[in-house]
Amino acid sequence: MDTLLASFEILFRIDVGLALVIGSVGGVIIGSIPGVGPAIGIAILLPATFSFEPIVGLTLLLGIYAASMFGGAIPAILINTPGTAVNALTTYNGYPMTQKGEAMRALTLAYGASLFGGVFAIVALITLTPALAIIAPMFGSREIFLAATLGMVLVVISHRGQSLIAAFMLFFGIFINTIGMDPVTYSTRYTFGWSWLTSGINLIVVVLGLFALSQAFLLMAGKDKKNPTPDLEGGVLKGMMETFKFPKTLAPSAAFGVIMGIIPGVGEFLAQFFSYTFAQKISKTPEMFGKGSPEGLIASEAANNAVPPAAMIPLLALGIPGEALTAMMLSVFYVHNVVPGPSLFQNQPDFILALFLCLLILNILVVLFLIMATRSIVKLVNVPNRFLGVIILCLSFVGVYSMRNSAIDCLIAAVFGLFGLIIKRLSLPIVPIILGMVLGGIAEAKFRTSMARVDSPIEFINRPIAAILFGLILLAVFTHCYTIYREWKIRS
Amino acid sequence: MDSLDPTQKKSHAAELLVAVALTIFAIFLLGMITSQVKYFHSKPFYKQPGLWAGIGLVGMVLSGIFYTIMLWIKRFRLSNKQPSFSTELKLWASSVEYFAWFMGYVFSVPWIGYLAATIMLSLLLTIRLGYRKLKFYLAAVFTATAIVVIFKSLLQVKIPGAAVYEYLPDTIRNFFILNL
Repeated sequence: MDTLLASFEILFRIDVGLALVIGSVGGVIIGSIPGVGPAIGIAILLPATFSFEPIVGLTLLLGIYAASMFGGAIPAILINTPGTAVNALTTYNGYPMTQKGEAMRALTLAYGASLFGGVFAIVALITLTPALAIIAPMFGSREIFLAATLGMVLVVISHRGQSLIAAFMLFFGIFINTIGMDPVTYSTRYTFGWSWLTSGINLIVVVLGLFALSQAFLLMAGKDKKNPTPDLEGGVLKGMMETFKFPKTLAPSAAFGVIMGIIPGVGEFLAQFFSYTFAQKISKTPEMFGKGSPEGLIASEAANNAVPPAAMIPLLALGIPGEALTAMMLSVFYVHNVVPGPSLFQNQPDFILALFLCLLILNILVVLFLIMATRSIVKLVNVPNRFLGVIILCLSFVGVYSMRNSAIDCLIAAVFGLFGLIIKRLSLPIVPIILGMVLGGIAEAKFRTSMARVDSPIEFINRPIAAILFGLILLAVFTHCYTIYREWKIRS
Repeated sequence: MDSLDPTQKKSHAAELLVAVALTIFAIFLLGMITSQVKYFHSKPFYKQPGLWAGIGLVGMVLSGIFYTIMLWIKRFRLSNKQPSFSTELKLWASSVEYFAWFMGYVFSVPWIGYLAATIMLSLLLTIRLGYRKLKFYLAAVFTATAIVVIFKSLLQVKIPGAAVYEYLPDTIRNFFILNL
């Protein structure tokens, strides 16, 4: 009860309230403009949030993360272009509904499913928190090392058909993280004698380069697209209520989102894939999937919106981010010397609960905003691509330069921007680079600490959680190898 | 996140070129490990500063080699309807121009100030990209001003005042340094 009251005290602060409103409205806008997306929004805002308290900064960034999923459905449904990449599956059924003259129905079904997914995930998390508070202290250095390794393994194998290049990018991220001064021996690594490399390559510089600058270059080098937007007829609330006529699709989809969100390195794409496939299997009209099926639309939207709250779990409980966006949020903790992990659950349960409640309020605020402003937001869908590139370029500068006022940081970010453009053009995975940088750093530090405490390799996995994690790593690798072998056998 | 258009087709030749370039880059870096990382004879392997750099580089080299081989084998199975390699290279090359615009912007901020540099960049780039209507010019100026006001004046992000502000009268110099 005391924890609840303390968390309400945090919630009723003006700065937290402002972060909630700005995060939810900003997130919808960012999501609804194709070519922007939450990664760019968060990367740009990240340095600005360093001056805020962790709860304010995290609420703002989480707001953008969660709300962009709602906003991303708008262009996916209306013009067949996902606002964020995770809304790609929404186009399969959302756009055919628009072509049939059911644009408003599709939008409101997406809003309803997203709201349900978000709320379901938050309720699940609040219910799970006491259990997590018990389990989290059982994670020592070796368990965190193994969890980080599991995250790295999963991020590679979740890129089906691209595992080799995903592995390359992950190892590249691990390597980038080692550049600069080694914190234990104080010797330099891969600095080539350049003093500006001694402090290493900052994660945010890489993130802004790979996500924001690359997108700006890509948009400006491309062409403008004119997308006629359809008329929106019908009420918002009526459509949202229709969502709840599909409980057999809604609940499992949100559950897939929660489970996939908790597992590091997996994220929205697999959550959607599983929920969509499951929804198609249990549907009475599976032939309609891909042709304007409300169930297909609900499955993808409920799953992807359940992921953001769930993705906070490995971050808060173990300090291990599951994907690029939570990796960026980890910086907010580090800047304020708040160490996410087992001790956070024990020492600051009010902070954790306040964060979950903020997420709950965010979802409600987003829906209220969408009910009032959908018709206006639709106009944002047609901001010319190349002009958008100019805006992203200006915004990227703030993100990079404001950290250390360093032109070198900007140069590094711009080089990563060019690299990001090439890998985006070739549809190669970017996220493993970021996770390699973050998880590689965690794995290196925890491996050193653990090895000093064990006499033989078997001691590394002789504790229950460590043994389970090691088993999961083996299982994941074995399953992946077996799948590749089976596919190869079928082909040959 | 990775691609704006999920249906976008990619040039296989360009992908192969990137794979080869990345693998060579990784081999080059791995070859420099003895000169770039110090080895401490008195320390166990897990405390060596080069361990994780080595893990990263060996992983890059191995996955890069296998990826290149896979692409090489795959090219025999591909249809002839591949996007043009030269078109892809041209697009990469054209983005270098925007790289130069960005770096020009970065170097101009400490001299002419954040507000002036941002307005100039957005306006000039808008013209360069072929927009010829007044509404775009106004939008460019308005957006640039809004970015500066939101980030520097309101959020107080750390962007130093410009050299040119030194020539302003005392009464407004501080305001410019702190807010614009």
